[in-house]
Amino acid sequence: MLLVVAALLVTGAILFTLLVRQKDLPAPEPVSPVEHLEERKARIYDGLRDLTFEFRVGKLSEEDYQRTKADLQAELARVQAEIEAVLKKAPAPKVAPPLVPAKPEPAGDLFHCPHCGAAFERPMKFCGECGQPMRGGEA
Amino acid sequence: MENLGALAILLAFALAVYSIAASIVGKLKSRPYLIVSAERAVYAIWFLLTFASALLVHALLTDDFRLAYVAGHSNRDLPVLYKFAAWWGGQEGSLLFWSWILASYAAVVVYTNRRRFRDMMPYVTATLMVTMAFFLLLIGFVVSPFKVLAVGREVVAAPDGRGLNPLLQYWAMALHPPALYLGFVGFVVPYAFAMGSLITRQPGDAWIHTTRRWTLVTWGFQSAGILLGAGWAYAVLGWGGYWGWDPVENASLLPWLTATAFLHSVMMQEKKGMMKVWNMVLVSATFILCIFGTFITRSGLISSVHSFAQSPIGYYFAVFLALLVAGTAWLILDRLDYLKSESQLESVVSRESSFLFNNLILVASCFAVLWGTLFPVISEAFTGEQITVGPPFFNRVNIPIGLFLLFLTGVGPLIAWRRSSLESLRRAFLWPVIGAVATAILLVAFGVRHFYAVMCFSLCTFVAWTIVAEFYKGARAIRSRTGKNWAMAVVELTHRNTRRYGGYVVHMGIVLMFIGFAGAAFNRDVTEEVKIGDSIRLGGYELKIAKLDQGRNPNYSWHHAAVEVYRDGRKLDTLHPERRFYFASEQTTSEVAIRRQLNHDLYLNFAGISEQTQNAVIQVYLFPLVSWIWIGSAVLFFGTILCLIPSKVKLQYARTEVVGVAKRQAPVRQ
Amino acid sequence: MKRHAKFVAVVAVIIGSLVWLALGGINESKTYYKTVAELREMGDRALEKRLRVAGDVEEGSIVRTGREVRFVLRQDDLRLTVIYDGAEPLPDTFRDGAQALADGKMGEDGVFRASKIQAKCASKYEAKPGSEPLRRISRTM
Repeated sequence: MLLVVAALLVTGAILFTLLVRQKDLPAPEPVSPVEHLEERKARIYDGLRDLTFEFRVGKLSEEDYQRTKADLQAELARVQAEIEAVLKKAPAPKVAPPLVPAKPEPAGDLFHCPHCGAAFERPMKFCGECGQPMRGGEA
Repeated sequence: MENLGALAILLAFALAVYSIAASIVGKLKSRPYLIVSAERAVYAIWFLLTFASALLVHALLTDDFRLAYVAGHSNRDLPVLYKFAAWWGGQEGSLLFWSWILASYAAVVVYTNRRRFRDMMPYVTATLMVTMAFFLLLIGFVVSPFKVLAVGREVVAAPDGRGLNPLLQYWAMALHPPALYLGFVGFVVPYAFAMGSLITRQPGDAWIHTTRRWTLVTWGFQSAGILLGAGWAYAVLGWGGYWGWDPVENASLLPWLTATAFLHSVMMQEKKGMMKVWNMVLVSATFILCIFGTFITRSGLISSVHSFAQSPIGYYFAVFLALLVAGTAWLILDRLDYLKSESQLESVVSRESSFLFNNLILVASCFAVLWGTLFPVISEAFTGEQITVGPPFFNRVNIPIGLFLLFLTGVGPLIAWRRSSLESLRRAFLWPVIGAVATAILLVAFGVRHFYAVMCFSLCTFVAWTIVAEFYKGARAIRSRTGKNWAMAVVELTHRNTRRYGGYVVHMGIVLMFIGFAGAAFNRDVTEEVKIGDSIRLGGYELKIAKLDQGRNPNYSWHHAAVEVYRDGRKLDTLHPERRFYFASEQTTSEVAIRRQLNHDLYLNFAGISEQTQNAVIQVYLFPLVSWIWIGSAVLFFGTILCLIPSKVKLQYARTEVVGVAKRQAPVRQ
Repeated sequence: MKRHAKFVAVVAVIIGSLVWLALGGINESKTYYKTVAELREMGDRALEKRLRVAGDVEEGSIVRTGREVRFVLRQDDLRLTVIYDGAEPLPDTFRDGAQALADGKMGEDGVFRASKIQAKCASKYEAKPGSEPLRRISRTM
């Protein structure tokens, strides 16, 4: 009895570990070469949103707000340029069709708030983030 | 049975070694089959260790006293809960428990990332499995939990076990080790990802984003473990203290300090791509300190009241630690170019610099505690004499550090990222500072002269004010826009950025705990020999001894007192301190009686029987504000959980879209 | 550059004051860890220093007189009389035969005056490796 269980344990563990079939290989998620830059950009947007909010609740002076905003925007431009440079170098990265849609992507373009940069799937009158009017700012 | 358990552990060890080799070779030679096979091994190890643990728990529950471990850590009359807890009650079992947690974490990591990070996952797996192999080496070959008792070649069973130390039979003590282990072991995951991304030079901070939640969860477990230990010491040990700067306590505090520093400095890397080297160092230091803590507790390197018995595993730990430190340091130094900072500090008055100071202070505190803990070893190496430093050293360094940290807790959230002008500072700080000064003046006016206590209370006012103001201002802004009521506005505000507002709640918990700590400056106590009818006076209380009796049951003999508590002539309560002598372990314990209140705890300890007069010796303590430590802990956990709830507003970026990404973003106004 | 200088200055002040506090703390609380035998060797030098002495509590030597507790620490055949009159209650683990640590100062009469006693209970009592398991169990039962 003991021996049977022991034998089962050993063979089971070895077979499970070693028998990897073709179909067991996971299809890796497609990775974009600019993914980290995109993320960086998203973070800057986040920072801008945060900044606007802090300014609105009165934690910042006008001067600080403007300077920091300019800084963030400059950084955004830098990241954007970097993305374009990367994409130019590798114009058509192989993107496998995602097996499972990682995220439900909106069908059309995103709508961006011109004030804080938050993105929304449907057009809105006011930004849900910073509350500024969004009209005329659609990308 | 026990043979199967030992076999499972050996098999798991072999698989761990295989997994290390397979993932590295698979990666270097680009063999996806090998890599997947290495990941399969991780699942197999988890299964094998679950099996081994189940065998051990089964043996504990069924009183199988043939096993040395069961005989040493359980007995027939032990309640079932503690029989189960004996799984982690002793050296061998707790190492098995530790390995099992590690295997579970590893399996979860491998499963959730089976499609992602194909580039660095082999190294992540390998790092996890190196740690795994080390612990399996210990329980497989050095301190096996499945050793049987034998005379000559014959397996024998002991008639009964030696039981669990009665001091440890307390609910918090059953939970304290698992919480601490979950926290200690958990840090291997961020470490493994850090190493993986370092080895493969991943662009960006992917390792930080993926492990953010791990870090927070393990930090929460570490905090829970430490606080449960403190709560146990307070309620069980009979001297009313919750922290004694004992080496073993320090060992659990060290990684907590660096982990806290890491949680803060990570934000700098996320926001601005700064401090990359520093974060690498912190995450490695935390993991290494976790291992180091286990080492201190188990090797007998430093004498401590609650260290495990001395055993040969100390040497194994020392070697493993040395390899870890050397390997990590080499890797970081070799990849310095990859860890270059993307931006720099704009101003000394900014959120960034408040984080820098926070980090500096936390690490300084960690260093001081480490230094104090290792002082006997260091002094022996240099002077040949073992010199220990006691609580005065730790308090002297750590009280100012704690206060400064508290101060930063208030300052940090108010200073803006990048820069803050005087005007902004004035807006943010005017009222909190007035509040703090007013508190200090009031306290001094009412006769409080203890410098640190006054500082602490006024800083607590300051920080609490800033936190409440943050919530108030944010909620007001949401209210004015959406017309929600205050409660809903606060919920909405928190939900939008759970990490941030959850973090504030954690800070609030810390403030409450500091109020409790400061109360210790006003502790009072009196010890008296009493007989029935006597009374003791302390701090406005009059304590009448109503009854003194004694007796015995099969398990222990006891002395018991019934003490009536009067205040202003009114009877409030009756307390029952007791002293027990356990026959099985020949040990006395105090069952203290505590009357917990928000302003102070009345704490009675039956210290013993005077041999000459046969009177009872009763100790009465008055601990102001202690309850706030436990309330603060609860708030801290609530805040940690808030941080773990996903924010309503997520970072939005096109993860799978590559072509045309640039078009999607809003035009940048320059 | 100026920004960095400011930052470095603040850091230096913080580190400096912490080091100062630490040094003070070490001087205030440093305790020499000695066994009974080493204490004997120290002779008169033992009188000025704060000491922590380790040894086993001799069976039957614990005598309580009011708040004062007197006992004998033993190491092999060396003995040291200790008087404890501290405020904290003695730990529950302190009993005949326990390993104890006494913190305090040596009196000129050769009696050690302890202000703090720690008794080694360990999370678990485990015998030293090599001892016979069965005997160890029957002894403690």
